Amino acid sequence: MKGMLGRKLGMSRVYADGRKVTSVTLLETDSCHVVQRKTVERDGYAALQLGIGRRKRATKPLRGHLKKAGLGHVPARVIEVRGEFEDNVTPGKKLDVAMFEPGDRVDVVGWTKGRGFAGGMKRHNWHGGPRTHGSNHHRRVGSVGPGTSPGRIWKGSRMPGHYGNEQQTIRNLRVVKVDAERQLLYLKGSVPGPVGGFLAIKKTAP
Amino acid sequence: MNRLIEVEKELLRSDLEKFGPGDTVKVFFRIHEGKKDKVQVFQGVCIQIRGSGPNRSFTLRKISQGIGIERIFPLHSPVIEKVEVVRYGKVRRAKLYYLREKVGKGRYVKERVVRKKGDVKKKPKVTAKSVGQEAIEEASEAAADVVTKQKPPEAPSKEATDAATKSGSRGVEEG
Repeated sequence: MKGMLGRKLGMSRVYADGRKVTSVTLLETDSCHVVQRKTVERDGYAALQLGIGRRKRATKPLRGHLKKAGLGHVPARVIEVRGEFEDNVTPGKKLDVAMFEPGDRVDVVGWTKGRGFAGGMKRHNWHGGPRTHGSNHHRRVGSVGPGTSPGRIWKGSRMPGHYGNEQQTIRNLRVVKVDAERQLLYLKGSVPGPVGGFLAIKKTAP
Repeated sequence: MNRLIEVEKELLRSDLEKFGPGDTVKVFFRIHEGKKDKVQVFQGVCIQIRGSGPNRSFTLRKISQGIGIERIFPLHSPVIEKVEVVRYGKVRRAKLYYLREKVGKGRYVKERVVRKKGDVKKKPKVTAKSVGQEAIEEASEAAADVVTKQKPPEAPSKEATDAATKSGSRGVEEG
């Protein structure tokens, strides 16, 4: 199992194979440290707790937790990546992006941009009503179900509501380039969340 | 975001000759043919440069056998071997879309005489080439003029314009 954390730097394009234009997302992966190792024997499941970025303040419990890991700084975010990792990945260790190679497939877990309370058109890609010709049914929801029988709305009917700010996994993204010197990872395609958002990168299970 | 721009700078090419809209440009680019790479040349007037960073591209337009052909190249593509400016054009706008509708003499961009220090040697060669190019173009243009003159004077160039537009849009597909 291979995995680490990254920060979305933004999207760009590169020329893969010296000719093909490829859309890529750049991820910054410097300052990714192991905070804790969870094992099946002790915690009931295997995972790696990783920290990324830097911030100034931390709660006392977190400070104690980090001290145990031997980390000299406070990470901006601590995220857990599940899976069995190699034995040499110990708390306090800095993870290197060089663990990935061009051509590898990875899964990226992130949090999508929050859109608040969104209507049906944005949330479910509904069409809405006509904009003109005397219609006042512009962006409204249409029928939501049958009438007297059953006399209620089916459970789970799609309706307006909170949209975004939820965990999303993009699977099987191709690693286009690895810049070990600057700790940058180039992935083909897009990843969830805003620029500057934190992401977990895992090697896709074969 | 600034870090992204820093990283992108490495992807940009600075080795190509600089040109702008209105300039007649020769592009040498590699194409994949079977197993071998072949260098192909496309010459035309640059009618637009768009995008920024690695996304920048330019459009060249030429008239081939009376049909307008446009081709878009990514500026920083490694496929481009060399860029040669054949002739500098004198234009007053950044996008020369108006050239698409022009017929006859208006189709051409006026030459801008560029005087560069230490670049004296290059100019005669450039002029000779562009004159040759013009001669060919003038010949095909003369043929178009004949057609136009046969029509009644009220709507002389309408059909010719339509034909040019039609052929122009057809030609955009592939060079």
